[in-house]
Amino acid sequence: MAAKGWALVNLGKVDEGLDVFKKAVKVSPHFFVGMPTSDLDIYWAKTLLKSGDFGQALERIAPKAIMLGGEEAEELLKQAYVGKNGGDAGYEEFLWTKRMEIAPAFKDFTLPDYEGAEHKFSDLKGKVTVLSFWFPT
Amino acid sequence: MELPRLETIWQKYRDKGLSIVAVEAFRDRETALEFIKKENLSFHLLENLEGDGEIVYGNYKVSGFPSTFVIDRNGKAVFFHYGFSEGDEVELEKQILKLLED
Repeated sequence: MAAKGWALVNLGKVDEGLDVFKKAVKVSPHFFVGMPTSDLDIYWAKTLLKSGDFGQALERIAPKAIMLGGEEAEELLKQAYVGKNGGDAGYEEFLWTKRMEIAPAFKDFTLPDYEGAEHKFSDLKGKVTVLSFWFPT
Repeated sequence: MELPRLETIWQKYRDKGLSIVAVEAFRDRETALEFIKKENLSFHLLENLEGDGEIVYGNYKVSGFPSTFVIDRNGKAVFFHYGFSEGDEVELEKQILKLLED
């Protein structure tokens, strides 16, 4: 669906493309940190950049670029920032402020250890925590 | 493999306010325990549940491994890493330090 919207944009039908993106975002699966797992945000941000809508492009691509990274998303975020602010001054500070703004509250869980004792994740509050989901290979 | 690197980081920062939790996603208990023993892992090691109690995909939509979150003192997931290559632990350590100093 996201690709269809992007195809419309490339045919010059920008408004129709944006309508498709708005529908696509409701049905595409979302990663925990908030952004759709598809390329929707990439297409959407590119479209907004083409229209010179830097502020909206920035909000659209920021979660993907900051939380998941990736060269294309990061490049689009920087373009949006430069477009909006007329230069890259303050970009590093912006990245950190935005990251803290986007970072979602981590949902609590209770799971057993290998002796069967239950552990509640929120009991670790107040500490910096690394949480890794893994499986043995 | 990521977990032995996490053990090194754990030993370095355990007295400075860091905790480390690893959740084995697919309940391959025998292989997991063998690995944990071989690598002398000593941080929190938990097992995912099955069915409706399953949290890895259910709570966090995580379907690729390893997937690692760095969570600040207020319980916000500030950094996310997918996969692991040699050297990634350097970036991870920087992020931990930044949050410990915050």
